[in-house]
Amino acid sequence: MLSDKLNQLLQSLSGFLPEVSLAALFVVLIIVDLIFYNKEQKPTVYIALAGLVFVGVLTYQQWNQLPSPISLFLGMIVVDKTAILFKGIFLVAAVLTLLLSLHNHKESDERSYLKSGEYVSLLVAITLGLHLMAMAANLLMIYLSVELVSISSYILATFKHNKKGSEGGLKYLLFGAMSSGIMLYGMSLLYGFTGTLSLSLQEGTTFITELLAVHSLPVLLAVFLTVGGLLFKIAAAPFHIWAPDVYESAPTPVVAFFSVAPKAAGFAVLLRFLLSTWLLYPDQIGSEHFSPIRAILIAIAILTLIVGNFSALWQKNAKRMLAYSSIAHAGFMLAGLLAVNELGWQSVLFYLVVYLFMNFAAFLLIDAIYQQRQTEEIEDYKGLGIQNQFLGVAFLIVMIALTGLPPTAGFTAKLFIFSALWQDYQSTGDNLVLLLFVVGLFNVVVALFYYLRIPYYMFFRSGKELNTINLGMYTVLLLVFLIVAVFLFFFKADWLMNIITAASIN
Amino acid sequence: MTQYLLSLLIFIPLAASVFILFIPEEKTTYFKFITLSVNLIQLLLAMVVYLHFNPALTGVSNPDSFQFVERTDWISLQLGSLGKLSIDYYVGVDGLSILLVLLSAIVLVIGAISSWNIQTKHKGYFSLYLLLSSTIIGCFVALDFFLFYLFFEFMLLPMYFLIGIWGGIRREYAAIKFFLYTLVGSIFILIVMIGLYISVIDPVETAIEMGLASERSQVTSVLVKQVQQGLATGGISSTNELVHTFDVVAMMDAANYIPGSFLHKASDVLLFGISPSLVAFLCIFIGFAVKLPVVPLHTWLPDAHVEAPTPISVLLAGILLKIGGYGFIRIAYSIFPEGALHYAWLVALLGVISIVYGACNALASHDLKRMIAYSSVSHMGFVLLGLASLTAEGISGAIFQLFSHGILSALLFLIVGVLYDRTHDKQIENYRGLASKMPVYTSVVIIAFFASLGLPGFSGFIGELFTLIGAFKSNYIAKWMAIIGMLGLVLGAAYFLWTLQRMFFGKFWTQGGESWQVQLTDLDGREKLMLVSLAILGVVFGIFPFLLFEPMAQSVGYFVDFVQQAKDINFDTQLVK
Repeated sequence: MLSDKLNQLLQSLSGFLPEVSLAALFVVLIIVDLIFYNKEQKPTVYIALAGLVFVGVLTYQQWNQLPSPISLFLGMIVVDKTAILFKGIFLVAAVLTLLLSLHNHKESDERSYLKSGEYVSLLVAITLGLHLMAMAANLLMIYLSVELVSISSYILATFKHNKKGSEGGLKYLLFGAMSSGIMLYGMSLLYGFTGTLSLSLQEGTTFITELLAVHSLPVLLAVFLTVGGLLFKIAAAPFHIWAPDVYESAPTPVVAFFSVAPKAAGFAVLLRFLLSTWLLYPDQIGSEHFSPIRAILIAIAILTLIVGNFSALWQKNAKRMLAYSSIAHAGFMLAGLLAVNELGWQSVLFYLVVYLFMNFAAFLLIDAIYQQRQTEEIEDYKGLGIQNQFLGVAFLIVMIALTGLPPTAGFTAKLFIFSALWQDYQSTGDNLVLLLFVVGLFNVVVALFYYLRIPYYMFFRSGKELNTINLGMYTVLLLVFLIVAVFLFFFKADWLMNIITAASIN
Repeated sequence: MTQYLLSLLIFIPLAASVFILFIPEEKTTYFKFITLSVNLIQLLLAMVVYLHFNPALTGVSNPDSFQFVERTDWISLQLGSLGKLSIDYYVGVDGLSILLVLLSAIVLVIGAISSWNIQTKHKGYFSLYLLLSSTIIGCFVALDFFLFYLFFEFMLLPMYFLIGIWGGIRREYAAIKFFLYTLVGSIFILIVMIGLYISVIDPVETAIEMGLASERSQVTSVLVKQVQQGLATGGISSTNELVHTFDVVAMMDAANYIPGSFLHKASDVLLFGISPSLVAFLCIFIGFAVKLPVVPLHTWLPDAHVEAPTPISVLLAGILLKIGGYGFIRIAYSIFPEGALHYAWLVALLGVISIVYGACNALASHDLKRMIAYSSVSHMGFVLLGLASLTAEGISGAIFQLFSHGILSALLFLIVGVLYDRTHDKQIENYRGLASKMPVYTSVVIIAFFASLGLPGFSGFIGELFTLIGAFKSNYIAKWMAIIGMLGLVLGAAYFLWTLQRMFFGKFWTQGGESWQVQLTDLDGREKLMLVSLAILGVVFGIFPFLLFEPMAQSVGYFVDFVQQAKDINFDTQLVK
């Protein structure tokens, strides 16, 4: 019996290669950092980059070789194509974060921490945690992976080593610890109701059938406590308060990573927890038992959209504005998830990929300006677009993409989300969905207002003739790559969408 | 040879707009000549399209009778459980759009000449101008809703910057107001677009997907009927075989709607107490009403016009407003004819309100440009009145009015530009007796004003006359509306003649005294070229209206019948046979 289990665990390792490699990479980075202790130039960043690319190759192989979803480690994790796609998103995000950290116009001490061994190895550790989140099919596994991500994040958030950074990091830690506790409480209740921690349906539908036997009120409570922790990760209102402070104070490459990767992982877990268990499918479980879950989540999505967008309107700091905008984007993705149909969560995946590129481009631009002008205030962007037209046009494109106007992939992503909502409204006739649809669409106009403020200052106002901004070849190339992706996913949306469709055939 | 004409019309300016970015900023004359020559090529190509256009083919809802059609697959993907989605690069013209393509090309050339005295940031200006030239034509020829929406939205951005950077004192306010108004409008359009493509299939692509044929050309009308039959009776079992489409022409055929979808003509769902397709009509109507503009959604227009530089005002009034009118015809009326019939009274009422309200505001304006902007609102009211009448006279009148107003408003805004260039002042009461000082200018102004107020012999007269005839003949709108519409003509005469009298006649006097006296010189060669050629066009189309009526006659007749057929749609019974 025991040897059977041991055998199974050993066999599982083969399906777990990317994660094993990530763990190994983490160890290697720490050792390298020790060896090169006190040295000026450390190779850690390059080792990390090479390692991540290697993991990427392994993940790609996994994608190609996976005939059907497999369950590993006694049902703790499930490897399916959706999870692999998510892993791809995390890896790209991690690589881009390192590339962002590398771009350093002046060799100043201020940003030297971005090349330190701790920084790089923590990033790898988070990536490992995110991988586990995407595959977790067990409540305990979800909790563990979320914690791995969270704890590394708290440290990364404070990496600026100044007062503001510590303040942001502490806020993050306090809110994060609180929400983890709440989530754990919810999970323990769920365990109490069902007697199982496993969410996967392969071993019969125990989880959901057990839940159906309990009165709906305690179940709703437990589900909400659990989901609350995840909503904290994706920064949905009212669990968003940490985001602006952390975004403003943490190093920009880290913020870019935070705004995309943990959010994507949060959605991966939400997908698994809400959709794979059929919690949101009254037709599948033959009962309206859990329909309040969806209603309340829709209310949360609407709240998130409104809070995110309207708060962003008043922001003067570019990074803070993007923080609120990222809350609003979480609202859009949540809307896609709540459409509860195939197109819905496919569109969430599409949105995430597009958002990855748009957001990294935005943060790269903010960072590039910061390095030369030492400012992140939108008003200080006056006249920059005219001084440096490439910078201005790039910023404009990224802002248009974030708003969701054609011809950028931001538009396509929103189009899919709203199509999914329409399809759902057509089949259920639920007026809440209609409300979400309309609120979402008109939020695009609100979003336009604040996103356009950056190009507005850049082009319409003339600034002081300071030393001109020189982006440098490295930044320009990175920007061009990101922007081309944003256009490509509009003009050939089918390329990305077909990959996502392939991922959804389980 | 004429195969790729429409694509060339779209992509030559687009390519030029990118090309310009690589020329150093100092070479300002290069920018001007490249832009002008690209616009001239556009005009040439548009003339070729116009001359090769076969007026006997109807177009509208009949995909086979569109001309200069180009169609290639652009995006096709699997949409979850909905089935497939196909977005095509699909362009073509018919009698409803051909004139607007021609108009755009003419006005774009005039705008390019008028851009000659742009003072700053030439590279950005001309690049954006060319981008705009590309998207405008794209809007008029696109037959795929996605493509149309792309061009429609993408027009906003260049416009925003052209007003916001090169405009007058309150340019920033005007630019953002323009952008927000139009974006709100286009959100309404987007809502319907999403609903439509989820509800509508392309029978041809579906037939291919079902394995009944291997390419478009093999799909016969019999096969199409078979697919539509299968759709109606539930004969297509798997939704995976359904190919959703953005094809505007397919959206006009009630047989292409998936049973049970919201926008199906026989849908029994009610939204806000009315049928979803009527709601959709209203949404589309609001979207394009912002653009046209229709009172009370017009408030962005006077601001945008007053602040925009002259060439941009010319484009705005001459072409961009027309996209609103075109959108009504091509999308709102053709896809939701039942809405057109049901809300004819509303459209006509808004038209009448626009006519009178616009005219009254024009009468009260002190700023010459604002007066002309409001006269545009008033003139666009006639378009609505003509459309609402749903008679061949009314619709042809509306399209004619779109064309004629495009020429005349371009002329009027250039006239203001002439004055503004010289004195930087466009207050009506600051000038008197200009006729003695600027005789050539005054004679052009007289022609423009008389043409605009609808004097027989000029193009403005024909458009307004036909819309009014239509309105009187119509069974859908009350006679009093047509009568009030005629009142608009009187008001129009009043504000134009009064302005003429105040500014041009009497003893020469100006607010600016001596310095203005020196500045107020008569037209130079470039201005004469623009103003005189537009004035000639205004007269030519007034005397030979068949030049415009002939290409559109068949299409308009077909269009009217097509919309009228919707009378037979009883909202309770299935239309599928």
